Amino acid sequence: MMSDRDPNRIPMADSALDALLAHAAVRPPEPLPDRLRARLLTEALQAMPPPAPVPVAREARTAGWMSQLWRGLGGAPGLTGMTAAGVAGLWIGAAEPDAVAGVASAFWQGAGLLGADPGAWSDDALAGLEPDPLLALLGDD
Amino acid sequence: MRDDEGPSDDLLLRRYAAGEALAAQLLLDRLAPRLYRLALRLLGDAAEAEDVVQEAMLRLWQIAPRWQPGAAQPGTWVYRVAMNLATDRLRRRRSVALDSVPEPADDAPAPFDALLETDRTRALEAALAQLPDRQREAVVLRHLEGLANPEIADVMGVSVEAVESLTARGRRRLAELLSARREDLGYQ
Repeated sequence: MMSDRDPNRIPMADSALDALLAHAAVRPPEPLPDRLRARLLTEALQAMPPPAPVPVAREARTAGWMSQLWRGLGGAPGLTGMTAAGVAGLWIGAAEPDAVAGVASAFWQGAGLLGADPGAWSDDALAGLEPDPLLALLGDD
Repeated sequence: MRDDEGPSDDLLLRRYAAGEALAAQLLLDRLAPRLYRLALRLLGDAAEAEDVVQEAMLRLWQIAPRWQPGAAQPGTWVYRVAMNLATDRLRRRRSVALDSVPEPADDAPAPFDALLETDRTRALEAALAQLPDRQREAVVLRHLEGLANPEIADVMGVSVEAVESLTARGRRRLAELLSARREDLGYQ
């Protein structure tokens, strides 16, 4: 029980307590000691999980695959050569056979004399040859 | 409970868990000074405050890989850990009396104002140490750390109404504990 005769039992006034607390609150805080900070950082790095593999974005993966293909083809010069070869192949395949024959004869003189008549060719080939005796016997039958 | 600028504590903790050393440094510099100040205010002893900060931060690093984003702010969580650690230490030395706080090591004569300030600080720390744990935590967080009641409620895991009640009772008890010294401390 509080008593008027015992001032030590009278609680500190609210205003005095507020002043005391406010005084303590605005007191500049003690800075974190450097050695403590160094120790904390060391422990943090020791406890840190190993770096996770960096996830590659889909665009990056596509770009990587395409750039690899680009390099494999030899870049712009390679692509130019491949395009030229492709166009030439297409032209050869789609051109008229006569034109092809013309091209072939340009490289091989006499190719135009070759005919597609094996019968005539075989008759010519047998002309002037002695008949085989066995074939002659068969022919007699 | 966090800086308004820069990445959130939550994001920094996730980056730390992904192995970013810079995130550890940023989070450390943001949280550790606050924890140290809180521990110093609760314990009044630099060596014990350092131990509390070290243990609290280590627990934060260890929980980082399992941290659930959005569940709580790391700053609030580690604040609570530090406060509990400090409270445990205070319980172990519960018998501290108002006049048994050790004298400062510096024997050099000090001006009257400096002496009065030292006296006030020591008296308040000793009185705070006499409060029940929850009342002391509420008073320190509200009146010394300057946290708002909802923030204190988060840290202490209680309702805002409970914070208000704890703070009021803590203040009343403080006023009683300091009554005998109010004239010494320059108050009427």
